[in-house]
Amino acid sequence: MNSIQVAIVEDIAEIREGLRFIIQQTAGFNCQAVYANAEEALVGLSADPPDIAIMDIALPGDSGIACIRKLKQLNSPIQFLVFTIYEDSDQVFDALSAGANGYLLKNATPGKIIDALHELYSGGAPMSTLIARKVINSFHRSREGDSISAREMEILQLLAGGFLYKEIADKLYISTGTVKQHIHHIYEKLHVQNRTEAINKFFGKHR
Amino acid sequence: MSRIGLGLMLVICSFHFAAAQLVAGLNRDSLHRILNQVPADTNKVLTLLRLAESYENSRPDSASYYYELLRELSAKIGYPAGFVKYATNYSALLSTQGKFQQSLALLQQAADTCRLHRLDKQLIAVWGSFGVTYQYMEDYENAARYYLRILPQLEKRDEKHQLGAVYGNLTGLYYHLRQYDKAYYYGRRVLTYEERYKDPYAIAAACINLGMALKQLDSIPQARAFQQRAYRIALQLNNTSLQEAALINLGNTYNKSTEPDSYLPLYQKTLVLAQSMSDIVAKSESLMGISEALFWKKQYQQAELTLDTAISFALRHQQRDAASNMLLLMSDIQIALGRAQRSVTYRQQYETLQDSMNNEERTKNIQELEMKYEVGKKQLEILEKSLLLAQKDKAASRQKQWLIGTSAGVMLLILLLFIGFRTYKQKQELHIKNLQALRAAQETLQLKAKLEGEQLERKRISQEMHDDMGSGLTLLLFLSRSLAHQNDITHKINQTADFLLKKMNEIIWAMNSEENTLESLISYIHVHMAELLDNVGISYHFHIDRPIVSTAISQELRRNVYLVVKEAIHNVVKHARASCVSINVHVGKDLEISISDDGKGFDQEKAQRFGNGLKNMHARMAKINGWLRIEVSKGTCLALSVPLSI
Repeated sequence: MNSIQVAIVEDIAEIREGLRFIIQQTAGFNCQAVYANAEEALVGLSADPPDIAIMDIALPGDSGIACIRKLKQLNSPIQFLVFTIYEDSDQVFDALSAGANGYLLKNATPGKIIDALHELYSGGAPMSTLIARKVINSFHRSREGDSISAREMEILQLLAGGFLYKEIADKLYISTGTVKQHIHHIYEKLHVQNRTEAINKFFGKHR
Repeated sequence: MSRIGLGLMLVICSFHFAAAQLVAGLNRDSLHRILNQVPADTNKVLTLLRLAESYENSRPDSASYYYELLRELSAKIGYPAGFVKYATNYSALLSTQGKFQQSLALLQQAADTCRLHRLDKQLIAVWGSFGVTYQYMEDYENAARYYLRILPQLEKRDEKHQLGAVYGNLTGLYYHLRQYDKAYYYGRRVLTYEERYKDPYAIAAACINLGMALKQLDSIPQARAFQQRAYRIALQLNNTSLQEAALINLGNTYNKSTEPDSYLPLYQKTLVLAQSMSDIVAKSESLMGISEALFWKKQYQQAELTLDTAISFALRHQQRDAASNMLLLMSDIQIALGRAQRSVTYRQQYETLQDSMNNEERTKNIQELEMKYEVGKKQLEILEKSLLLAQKDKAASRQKQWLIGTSAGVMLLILLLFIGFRTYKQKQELHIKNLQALRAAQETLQLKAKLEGEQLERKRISQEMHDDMGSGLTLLLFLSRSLAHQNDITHKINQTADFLLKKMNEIIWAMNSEENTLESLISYIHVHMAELLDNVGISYHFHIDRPIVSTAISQELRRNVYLVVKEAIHNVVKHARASCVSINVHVGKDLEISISDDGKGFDQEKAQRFGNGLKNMHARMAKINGWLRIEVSKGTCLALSVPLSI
């Protein structure tokens, strides 16, 4: 039993089942649980954490973003993949800041869905041009810009300028896999930065 | 959940001068009478000042009118101090009407006058008024700057009322600026000061403010001590509203999750007080506090009961901020009670409430714009009134002139009439000018509102498309995928849903004003065309001169260029049978893009006659003043160019 454990949080039953079907059919993956809202997911995911959770953003009660934030505050080891229609939205950026490690487009073909899961599991991450720009701004703003390495900033800037992963790899004489790993690290730093910011903000003020 | 305590309401003190003894203490009617009797001298100035002040609260337009007379008179009799008086008073009135820039400009003039005529004492009042105006503008830093400037002078003279007010204001300003140590420092000064004058009410208020600042500074025991002192004084004074404020703030000094036993009785006491005074705000606050305590004491059933009453109370009395906090807590309580579904329901109620609150905010903004317009209209009326008055004055003086005129001769009368007519003409011209300025301002306002409205509307459409259509299309995609027997039709449904989702994303991108840059357009073309070509296995090369500075471009240009490029790539994929595409982007004065492939080319004549695609591409380029050229030799080369300057 060395298969990758996946959980799904999605409120529309047909989509939830469709995803479950795709994952169950693929060798090396197991869909261990599905949840229809954030409240149930919060309980279930913290009790029995999978390797990867696919998280829809618009859920009936708490949003997927809030759910990710709460679980990350509890130091959950889960890698989150946000399930979204539009990759450049503010919501995707918020989710990434809250602790997600990547996003999955809702119109991705079954093949691409499985690719994305594999990629995340092996330490990679996707990042669009606009998201890269927002990440750069966020690091500039937080005065913790030095927490990010020069190489990482270089990659962010190339991404923001519209370069493809392949082109960045060629330009920097590294492999595409390395580019993806850098981006994965950038996301991790974004979470840390975001958490300290949140702590500063709520210190002594939260009920 | 921090409640601004009673004492922290900013004391907006106007830096009015004390008016001369002659007119102090008289009522409005006597003032009117005096006004008609006194000659045009400094006493008349003071009378007008008093009269205007008396109207300030009830009829601001009458106040403006008398202030205007005051200004004219001061100018006429060469009385600079009169002008300064007018300026300090009238600036406060302007600030309450939201005309901050006018207020600041007026004060600047007053400050210049003071310097010119060496009116030192008046200059302090002007600076104080600057502070007040900035405070109204919620520009707390500048407000503090001005108060600090006058503080040494006031301290030297020990100006009783103003000094207390300035200390109090500084406490409030620094609390708002989150510089709690400074808020604490000035709160201390207020306290020392008020202790000297032994005003128990002011002392209690100062204690509440100090307690609040200390709480922010994490000196919890001290904060608590001050709130307790405030509470004791309030008990002695038998002042229930002070008691309430002290109790609530005292409750806030306790940690909500770990010390529920300590703050529960405080909120219970507050509740009794609030009920006796029918204080709605304090009642919802204390009910919330009690429910929270019960929640953390794990008495979920009781917490639910209390909160249930609290929510309906808060909603009934429009305490929407409190109600939304309560709904959130209720949602947590339901989770604790193991009712996930109910928790969701409360959560939804919370969101609906938040939505409607946001909507109201928007309506309020619109109302503010309308109000500004109304105030403008009022001013116009005032102008008309003064015109009418001027005419009346003229009529009166004409009568007098008539008597003199009979003895002095008809010639003089004609001369006077001529002068009267000219002044009237001048006044009317001024009136027309003012009217024009007002109209222009109104038009700019409308235009701005319209642009903002468009932006908001675009955002709303994108959001709705994304939320509603997006999830529907996704569902369709998954449903068609799950059909057991895949055939042509299910495949087509699948493709259509996929196409529509992609198209929708393009529309959302096109509508997003954040993306109105050349960089964004080029990278969007780059990423999406690469994906398209990757999918069909055609190799490609991009050669892109990247713009050094980020250039803003119009939404129309962005959208049209992208669609033309997409169409061109589509043509390559569908018709050219190419194996390699090269895409060049050059940015100079114009944006130039060329797309060449190694395919079989095509017959332009035919394509022009039968295909709408090419016609559309030309039309799109024409719309943005650009052009498009196609050359067929070894393969096809399409070149487009569009000017970037507007």
